[in-house]
Amino acid sequence: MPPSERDRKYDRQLRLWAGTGQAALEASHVALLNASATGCELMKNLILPGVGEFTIIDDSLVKPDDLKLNFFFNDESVGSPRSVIACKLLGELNQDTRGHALFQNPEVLINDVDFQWDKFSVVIITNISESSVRKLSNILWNKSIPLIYVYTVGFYGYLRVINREITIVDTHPESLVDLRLDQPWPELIDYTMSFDLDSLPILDYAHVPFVVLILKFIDQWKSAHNGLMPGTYEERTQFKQLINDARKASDLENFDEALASVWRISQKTTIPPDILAILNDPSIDNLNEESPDFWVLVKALKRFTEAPRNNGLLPLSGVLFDMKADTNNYIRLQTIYREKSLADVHFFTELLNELLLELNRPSSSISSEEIKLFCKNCRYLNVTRGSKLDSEFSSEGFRSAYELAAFSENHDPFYTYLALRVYSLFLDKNWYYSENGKQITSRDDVELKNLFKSIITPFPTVPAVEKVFSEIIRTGSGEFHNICSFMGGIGAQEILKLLTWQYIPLNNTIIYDGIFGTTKTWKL
Amino acid sequence: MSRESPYSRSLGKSLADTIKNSKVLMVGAGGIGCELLKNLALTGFGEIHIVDLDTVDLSNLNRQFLFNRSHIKKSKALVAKETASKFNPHVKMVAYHSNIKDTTLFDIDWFKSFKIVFNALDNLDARRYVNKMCMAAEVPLIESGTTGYNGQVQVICGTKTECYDCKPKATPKVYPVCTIRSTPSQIVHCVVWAKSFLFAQLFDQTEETSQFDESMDNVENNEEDLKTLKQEENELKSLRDSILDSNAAQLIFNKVFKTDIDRLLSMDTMWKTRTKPTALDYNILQESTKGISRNIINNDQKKWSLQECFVVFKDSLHRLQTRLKFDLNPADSLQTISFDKDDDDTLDFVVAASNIRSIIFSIETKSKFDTKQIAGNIIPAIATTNAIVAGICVLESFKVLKNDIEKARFVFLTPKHHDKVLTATKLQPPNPDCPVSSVARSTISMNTQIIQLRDLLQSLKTNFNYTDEICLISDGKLVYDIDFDDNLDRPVKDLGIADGTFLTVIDEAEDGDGKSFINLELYIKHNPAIGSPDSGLISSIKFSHIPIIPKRNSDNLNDDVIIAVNGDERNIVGSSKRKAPESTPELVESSKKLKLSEKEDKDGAIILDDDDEIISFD
Repeated sequence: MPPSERDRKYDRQLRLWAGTGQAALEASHVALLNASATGCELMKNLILPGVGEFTIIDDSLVKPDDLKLNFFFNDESVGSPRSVIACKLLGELNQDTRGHALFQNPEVLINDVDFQWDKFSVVIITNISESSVRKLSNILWNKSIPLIYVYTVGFYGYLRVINREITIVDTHPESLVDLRLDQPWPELIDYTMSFDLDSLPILDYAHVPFVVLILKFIDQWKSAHNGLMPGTYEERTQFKQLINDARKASDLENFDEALASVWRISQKTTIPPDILAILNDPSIDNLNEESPDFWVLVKALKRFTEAPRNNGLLPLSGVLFDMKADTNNYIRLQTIYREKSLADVHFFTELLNELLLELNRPSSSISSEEIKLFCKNCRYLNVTRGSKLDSEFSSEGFRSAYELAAFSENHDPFYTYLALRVYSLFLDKNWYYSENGKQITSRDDVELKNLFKSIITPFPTVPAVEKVFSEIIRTGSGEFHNICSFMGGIGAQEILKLLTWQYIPLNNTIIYDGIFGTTKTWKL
Repeated sequence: MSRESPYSRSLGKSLADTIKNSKVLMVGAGGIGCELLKNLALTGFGEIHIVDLDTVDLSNLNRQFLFNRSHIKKSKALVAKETASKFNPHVKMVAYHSNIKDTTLFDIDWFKSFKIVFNALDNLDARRYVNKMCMAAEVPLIESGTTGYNGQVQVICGTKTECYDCKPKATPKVYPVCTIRSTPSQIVHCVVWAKSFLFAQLFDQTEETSQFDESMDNVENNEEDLKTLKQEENELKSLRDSILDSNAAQLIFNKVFKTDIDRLLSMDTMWKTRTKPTALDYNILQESTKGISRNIINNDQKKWSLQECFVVFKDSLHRLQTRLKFDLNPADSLQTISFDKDDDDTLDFVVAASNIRSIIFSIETKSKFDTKQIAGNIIPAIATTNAIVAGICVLESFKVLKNDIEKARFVFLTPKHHDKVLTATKLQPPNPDCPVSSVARSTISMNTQIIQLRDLLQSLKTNFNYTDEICLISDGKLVYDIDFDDNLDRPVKDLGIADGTFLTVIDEAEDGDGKSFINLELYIKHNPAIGSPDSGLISSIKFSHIPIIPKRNSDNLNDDVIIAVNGDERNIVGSSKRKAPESTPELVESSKKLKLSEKEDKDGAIILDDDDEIISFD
C-alpha cells in the first residue's frame, strides 16, 4: 500500500500515537497461546490497527461449542485446527499484517527448551494451566519480553501483565505547559518590564497577556514584602486583591485569567518526585556502550539539572496555552518560551554528546528528534517495573493478598481476585475440566472452599469470596462472549501501550466484575 | 449449528428467553456499531435492525472490522448485516441504508416495535433525535460514545432516568463573522475561512452563506464594515463564473490574498491593536516558486512554506477544475463539489488556502495532517475503546431487560486513571427543566391538510382546559401565541405540523403561586381519511390519550454540570477564544465556554454544523 494510503487508513489512530507509535506497532510480532474467544478478540484489536506479525499457537480443533463464543469461527470451521482458522479469519481483517499458525500444544511448547521466543515483542496466554503460565512467565522475564495472562469466567475478567521494565518518554500528560512564574528568566523579565500598564490605552491594556500581569504584580508584591513571594493562603488572597484593585475595568478577561492562575505561583517550580527518583535510579550508574538510550538520556538530564546555570531545573517544555492577548504579544510570548526551550535543548545536547563520547558512542547515535521529545516530556517520564508471578502465585503471596483484602469493603473486587486465584488453583488440580469442556457444578463448591481453607488457616468466612464461587458455579465456569470481547479490548489497549512505548501502562493486575460493572487495578 | 440462546445457564433461562425473543434497533454501524452487532448476535438477540446513512471509508478500516477494502463506498448498514450474518446465520437482521430521521420510513410506531434501542452514533444531532423518539415511543435507549481512549455508556429509561438532553451538551463552536472574515488570530479561524467561506463560495453552491443579520451589535462592526464584507462576498461569487477559466487561480488568488487584504489594510482603526496583515501578489510568488514540485502534497507532516502552499493552491485548484469540467452536464448548471476531509483535492485546497492566509496574518501555520483534523473535526478512534464500550452496552441492556433499572449505571471509561479504568455512577432522575424528558406526551391524529390552526387550538383548549395564553412550537418555530395569530386560518400542514413531527404546547398562564403547567409534547399523525369539512372538523382531531399535565417546579434551574459529547465529530474545532487558564476545573471551564459561545452566537456568529456543512450568519 502506498504510504499516503496507509496514513489514511490509520488516520484516526495516528492522532493518538503518531507515526512513531505506528512504526513501532508495525515492527512488532505478537504471539497468542490458545485461540480462545478472549484471545481472538484481543488479537482482532491488534490486527486492525496494524501490528506487524502475529502467531497463533494452538493444537485443538474447532468444536461446535466454540461457535457460541468465538465470532471468528463459523460452521465450516468445525473440525479444523483452531490455530489455522483463527489465523486465516483474523488475518483477513488487515492485509498489511502477516499471520502465522502453529499447530502445537502450548504447554508442550513452553516445555520445549529450544523454542525461540525472542522473535516475539509480546506474548499473550489465555485459558491454560497456572503452572504453565508461571513457567512461561519466567522464561520471558529473563528475556524482557512482556507476557499478558488473561481469562474470563462467567461475568468476571482477569488480566495480569508480567513485564520486567518499560521506560516511557511520551506518556501523553494532560498538559505540557510549564509557565515558571516563580522562576522567570532574563528574556521573560525584560519582556515583562517593557510594559507600562499605567500608560496603556484601555484596548491594549485588555490585551496584556496574563503571564505578564502576574509577573508584574509579583514584582510589586515582592518589593513590598522583602523580596518574598506570596506564600500562605492569606497572602495569596491579598495578592488577588492587589490584582483586582489594579484593574481599570470590570470586564477584562486577561485579569480574570490572571486571578484564576494565582494558584500557580504557590507551586514552586522543582523537579517532581517521580522524576527525581528516575534521576537517582541505579540504572544510570554503570552505563556502557550498550545501555538503552533512555538511561543515557536520563543521565544527561541529571547533569543538566546539576549544572549551576540551570538552578536545579529541568529543561523547559516551551509549551504555552492560549490566553487573552493580541496576536503580536501572544506570538512574542510564545517565542520567548520557545527560545528558552530551544536553548535548554541545545545545552542538553552538549551534555549528552559529552556523555556519549565517554560511552564510546558517536554523538549522532541519538537523533535530535528523540532529544527534543525527551526534553519536552522530561517532567512526565515514566519507568514502570513489574513483578514476577512466582511470589504472587505462592501460598505466601496469597496470604498477604488476603490480609490486604481484610481491609477492603464488602463488594471490593479484591475478593473477586482472591476467589479467582482459588478457582485457578482448582483448575490446575482438575485440569480435565477445561480439556474436556466439563462444567463446574455445585458439587465442586466444597472443593473450592477446601482449597481456600488449605491456604488460609484458621478458615474465615468470607461471604464476598463465597459469592464469587457460587457465581462461577452458577455459570458453569462457562465463558461469555460479551465479557471476552470486553477483556479483549482492555488487554489490547494495554498491549498497544507496550508496543508503541506511549502512555502509562497498567501495572499489573486488573479485575473486571461484569455484574457490578466495575474494574479495579492493583500492583501485586 | 445452533448459536441460539447459548447462555441460558449463565444468564438464567428467563433472561436468555427474553433476549431470544427481543427485537432491538441499532442506530449507527460504525466503530461501536460493528462491535455491538457482533456482541448482540452472539448474545442471542432474536432480531436486530440496523440503520446507518453512511458508506464505508478507508479510514474506517482500522477499527470497523465488519468491513474490508472491497466494501469502500458501500452502505455500512447493508455490509455489516451481510458480514455478521455469515458468522451467525440464525439471527434475523434487517438493514436500512437510510437516515434515522426519515419519518416516512421510521415513524413512532416503528420505534415502539423495539424492546431496546442502541445508539452507536457519532453526532449530537442524531443522538438527540433518537433520544426524543425513544422518549416519545417509551422505548429504553442505551446511548454510547467514544473519543480516543475514552468512552461512555448511558442507560435512558423513560421517566425513570435522565434522558440524553437532561444535561446540557457542549455545543459546536461558533465564531464571530468578523474574526473569520477580517481579523483571524488563530489557525482555526483561517481553516474555517478556507473551508466554509472560500471553498464553499467557489465550489459548493448548496451552502447557505448569504444570510447576514444586519443588527449585529459587536462594537467592532459598524455598518461600513458589514458593507465591505458583503461586497467582498459578492466579488467572490462573481468569480464562480470564471472558475473554469485558465487564469482562475490568478483571479482568485489576487482577489482574496491581495485585493481583500489591501482593503482591510485601508481600515486604519482595525490595526491599532493588531499586527497588520501582508498582502501577497500572484505574479511575484509565481516567480519564486519555480522548481517546487507538487509532490509536497504527500508530505503531510511538514509545515509547508508560502511557496509550497502557493504550488499546492494552484495544483489543487487545477484538480478541482478538471473535476468540474469532466462532470459538466449542460442540463445542470449547478455543479458543486463538497468539502470532504477524505477527498484530497478538497483538503489540499483548504490546507493551502488556510496556510497562505495564516502567513498573511502572522499566524503559525499547520501541517496537512493537523489541518485535516481541524477542518474535518476528526475524533481519534481505535478498535479497543469501541470493543470495551460495546461490551458495556450489552451488559447494561440485560438490566433493562430484567427491569432492574436501579442497577443500571452511567459508565465512563477513563483508562488514563490507572486505578479505575471504569467509573460507574448511579442513574439520576430526569431534570425537571429538560425540554425532552420533563413534558407530558400524547399523540394526535388528524387530517393535517384540512385542519386549520384555529381548529387545532380549539381542540387543545377543550381537551386540556388551556386558556388563550398558550404558545405552539413546531420544529423549533413559533406557529402561534396570543400576540401572533396570523396563521389561524391556515392548514396546519403548511405550518410544518405534519406527519411524524412534534408540536410543543407551552402554557404561559401562571396560577396564584406563579406556577405554570409543564409543556405538552404532541406527536403528529396525519390521517387523510378523517375530517371532511361537513362532519365537524374539531371533533375529528383525536388524541391517543389525555395525559394529566402536572405543574412545573421551576426552582431548580441550570446546574452547571456539562458532560462532553463523546464521539461527536463537531466538537473538536478549536476554541472560539483562547482557552481559559487551566486552573479552573474542567467542568467549570466547559460551562464557561458554553456560555461564551452562546454570547457570541447572539452577537452575530458563524455557526458551523459539520454534518450539514452549513454556515449561517445569525
